[in-house]
Amino acid sequence: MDPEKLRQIEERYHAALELPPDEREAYIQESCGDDEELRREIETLLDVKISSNNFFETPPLSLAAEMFSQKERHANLVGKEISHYKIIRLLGAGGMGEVYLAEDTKLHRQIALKVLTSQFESDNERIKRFKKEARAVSALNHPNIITIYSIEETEAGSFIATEYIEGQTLRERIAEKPLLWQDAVKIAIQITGALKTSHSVGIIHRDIKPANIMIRRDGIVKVLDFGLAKLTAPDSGEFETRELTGPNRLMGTINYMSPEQALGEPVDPRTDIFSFGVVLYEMLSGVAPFSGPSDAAIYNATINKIQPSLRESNDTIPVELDHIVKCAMEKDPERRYQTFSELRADLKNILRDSQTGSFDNAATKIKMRPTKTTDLVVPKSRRYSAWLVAPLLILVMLGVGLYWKYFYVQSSTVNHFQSIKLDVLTAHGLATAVAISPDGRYIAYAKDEDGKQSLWLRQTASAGDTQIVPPDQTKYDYLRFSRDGNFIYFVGSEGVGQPSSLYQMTTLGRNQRQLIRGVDSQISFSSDGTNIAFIRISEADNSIIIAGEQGGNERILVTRKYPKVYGDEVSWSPDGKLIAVPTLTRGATYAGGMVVVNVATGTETPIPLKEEKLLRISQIAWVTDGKGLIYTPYAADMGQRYQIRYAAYPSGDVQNVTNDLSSYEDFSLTADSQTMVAVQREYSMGIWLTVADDFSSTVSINSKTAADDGERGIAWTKDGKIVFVSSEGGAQNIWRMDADGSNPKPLTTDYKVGKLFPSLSIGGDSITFMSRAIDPSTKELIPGNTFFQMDSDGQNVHQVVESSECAFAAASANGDWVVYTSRADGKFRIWKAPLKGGDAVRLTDVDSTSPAISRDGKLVAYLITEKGKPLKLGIISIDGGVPLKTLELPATTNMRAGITWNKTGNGILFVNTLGTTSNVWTQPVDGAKPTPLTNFKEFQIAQFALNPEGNRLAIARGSRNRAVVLIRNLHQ
Amino acid sequence: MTPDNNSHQISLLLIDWSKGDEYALEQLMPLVYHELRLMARRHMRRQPAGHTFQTTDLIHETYLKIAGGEERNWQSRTHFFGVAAKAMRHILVDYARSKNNQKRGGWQERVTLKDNMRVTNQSTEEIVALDDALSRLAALDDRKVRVVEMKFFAGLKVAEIAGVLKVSPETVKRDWSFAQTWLLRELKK
Repeated sequence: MDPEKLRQIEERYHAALELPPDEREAYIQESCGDDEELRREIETLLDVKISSNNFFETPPLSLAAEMFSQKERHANLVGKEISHYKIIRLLGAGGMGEVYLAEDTKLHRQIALKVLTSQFESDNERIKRFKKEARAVSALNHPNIITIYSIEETEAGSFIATEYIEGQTLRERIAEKPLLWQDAVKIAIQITGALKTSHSVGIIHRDIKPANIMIRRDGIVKVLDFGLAKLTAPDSGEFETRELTGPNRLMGTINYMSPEQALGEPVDPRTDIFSFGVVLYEMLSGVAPFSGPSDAAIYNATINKIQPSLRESNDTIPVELDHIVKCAMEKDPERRYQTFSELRADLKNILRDSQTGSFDNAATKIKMRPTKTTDLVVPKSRRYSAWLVAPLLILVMLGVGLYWKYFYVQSSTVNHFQSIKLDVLTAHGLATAVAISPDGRYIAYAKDEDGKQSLWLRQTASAGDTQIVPPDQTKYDYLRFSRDGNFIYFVGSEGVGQPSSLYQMTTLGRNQRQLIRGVDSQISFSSDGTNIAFIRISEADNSIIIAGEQGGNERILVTRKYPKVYGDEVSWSPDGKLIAVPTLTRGATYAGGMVVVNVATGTETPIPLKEEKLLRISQIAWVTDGKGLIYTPYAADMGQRYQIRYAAYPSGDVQNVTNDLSSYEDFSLTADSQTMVAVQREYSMGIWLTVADDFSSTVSINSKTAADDGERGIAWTKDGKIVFVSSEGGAQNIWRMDADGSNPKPLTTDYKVGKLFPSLSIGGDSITFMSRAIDPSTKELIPGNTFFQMDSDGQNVHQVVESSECAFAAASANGDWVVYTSRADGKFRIWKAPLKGGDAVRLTDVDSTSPAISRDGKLVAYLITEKGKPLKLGIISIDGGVPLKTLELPATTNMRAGITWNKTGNGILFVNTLGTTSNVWTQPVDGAKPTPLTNFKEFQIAQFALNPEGNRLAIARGSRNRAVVLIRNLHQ
Repeated sequence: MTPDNNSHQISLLLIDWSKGDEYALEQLMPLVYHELRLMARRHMRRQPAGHTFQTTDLIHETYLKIAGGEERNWQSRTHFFGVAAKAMRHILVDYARSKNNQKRGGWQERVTLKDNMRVTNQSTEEIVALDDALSRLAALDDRKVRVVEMKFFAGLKVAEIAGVLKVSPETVKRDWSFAQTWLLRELKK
């Protein structure tokens, strides 16, 4: 067609329209003549006109409104500052607002800023929900849940500042390429961790979908957008059933909705289990199980249709995994997994079983509900004989019972502490010990920077910290204020390896003096303030000692003998009659408990704590009314995390004060027991590998078994596998895995590896490690450390060096020698011992640790740690003699990470931590300046190992953050 | 660039364009686009959620802002309407396209809310199809495309459109009638 043709069409079109309808056809015939095309054009146009719809009647207003309302804001915000955040760019828009990348101009870090859309600023309901979300999530503390930094309101609107996550959403990841089922399960396990935590504090996510799950570049999964999360009412013991916005309002993306959500029925935590099941299904198959051309079709499928088996699309998916997904996606919540703990355990088992090759037995290990139950739900008309229904009923009731126990009991036990407020007071993450003054006005804490500790004082109400003792060799193990608040007491030592004493100083750090020598625990004042109680440890026993407030007049109250000893804290009861103390049985496995000792008679009475699998209680403190104690236990299933609990006295009934994934490692109560300070440790380790021949590129091997993988030792085997220490399962053991993170497998099962100092070394075909030894007859741990050696498959374990004072071992590549740090002569020296038998020989005569043998086996490098002098690197011949070289190392060297020789032997690798970021550096042996080898931008390195080819590093690194937190509103 | 500078520049470019400088249009578009967005945002903020959005009001307000509160130059006002209508078309079509892409699996998934603001007859797919049809129509009769832009995308009145195009209101009506029919037929193809 051309413009002229269109003009002809238009002319006849208008003329025809002006005629009465019955005359039009004749006019068209006449005016078009033989031009068939022209005639057809006009006729079709007139047909359209007659049947015309209202498409053009109104401009596309709602589209314009929708667009302007959501996109306008960022045009204005980018480049601007809100509070102390400088907006960099728009990251995306969610249901309730836009998310921007911004820079925190105070802390100089990138953050994500979620701003409430301007359209909703006048919408109170939205604002309420927005804040509710923020509060809900900020109460959670988990490596797989996005971290909330602050919730603020400014003139520009309400916003939430959160951790900025660089990576891709699970949605993008699924769209990119198919996931291996093992990878899908690894991601899923991380998601279950997040949801398990949120459920444990009563938060349902309600909008689990791939777009709400981010995968960071290092493989860590983060669950975001608890946008629909709804805090449950903890006092009713029931989950709130309705959304704020009304009973039938559908929230959430419908493809991932549970049937009960789709039906607008009451929902409980099991709705997340269903949505999670849908997400896992999509990860495994690449397609959403419930789809359709319309929302109604999707609702219908969600409510009525059973999704096809995953194995129909991919028969590499294990039958058991298919069952797990089916069980999570049961239409009836009662038939689903009831908790994420069960689901997580099954996912972990399936991964483990596939890796250890015991896959055929997997079905027997998976604690699943019967998966055939779908047959019994649909069709509904089917009748069941009583014998079939009865066991099912029992199962369902059992499920309900478990569910009730898990949720109801948990929520009722947190009852008294439901209104606690937790504020993080320090941003540096370097706090160790902490104390609060009895009136709550002052907080003292120790800060550890590169192994040097300083003491700080803060007024609770203000944000400023004052350094009262500068960093030096002093170690502050425990801090306490005097009862009048005028003095600070600390138990500490004048350096690593020195005996601990009790010291006193003014709150400004002046007039420091030693009060009592040989104090090995926190102290506690008697109610009248005239006496101090503490624990003193000796070779064979330990005792509770009572002394005068200025020292002297010591008397032993009670003594316990190894292996059933006291813990690290005593607490004098408010009436002065009892001293509560944690107890610890140091056997092959630890067992923790708590007793009260009568001060007058010395008799012990256990407190029957209603807690299971308690491994250890670190601290204990009476509350003011004498009716209970606050304590910090850690149980076998808690993953080395101390939580704060309350035990009623004398019943031993337990309530949670905290229940999160942090660890609370020191605490102190005010005189009225309403407020406490604690050191909150966040902890997440992972293993990274550098790319072959490129130390600056790294990949995370996402094979997490425990939160401390590799922290206490990592090494390469000759055939390129990675051996590491992990506390998976409660005890530290040596594990081995392939260099891509697959096939993790424990090599030892009953050793306490690397109790204090990491030590794991491979020489030749054997693995050398340090462990506590177990007495073969009593099956109990023998005091002191022993070096063991075993084959690289974990077989043939044998003892190689016996010394109660040794640490930091390294074996030579040819397997001739082991070198190690020992205090056998009372001082830290490097020793060598022949692995094939013979006497140990001392190599150094200065304070030295962390030896490493060169690849040719001829030289030993070590760290020289002379008191008051800079850290140095020494090199000596394996045959002894005078040191060949002494070079200064940076003061920021991480001594615990040890050192290793590079491939050619012309450099020593060490870990250098600048600020809070560690990298592996090389110190050239010729004395040139050290240079960084890796290129990490965050986190600290705990351990590293160079592979036998000398071109790849395995690095255990992660975040270790120890913050002072203030916990208020402790209403017992 | 401050808003005032921006307005001034728009006025100058409008004059250039009215003198037949087609290059001025190219420069005008992004500026008008930006101004419209800013104005729309203010507009949305003042209104309660769920109110009816009026593109015409928006364009008038934007023009008033550019003109500094008084209509100094009738000529530039009509030219502005022409440009603004074209800008509205681009803005809305771009948005409709991006929404379609999202539906087909872009990165961002929006919560599906059955909101009561959805009173329009047009789907985003239809808006995109309309844009394609308009491009075909432009090759045959550009004036009709401009009528559609002003009438449909910008919501202008027939008299205003006639002013911009320097034709009679009757011609605008005829163009509008025929263009609608022609485009509807294209959309049904």
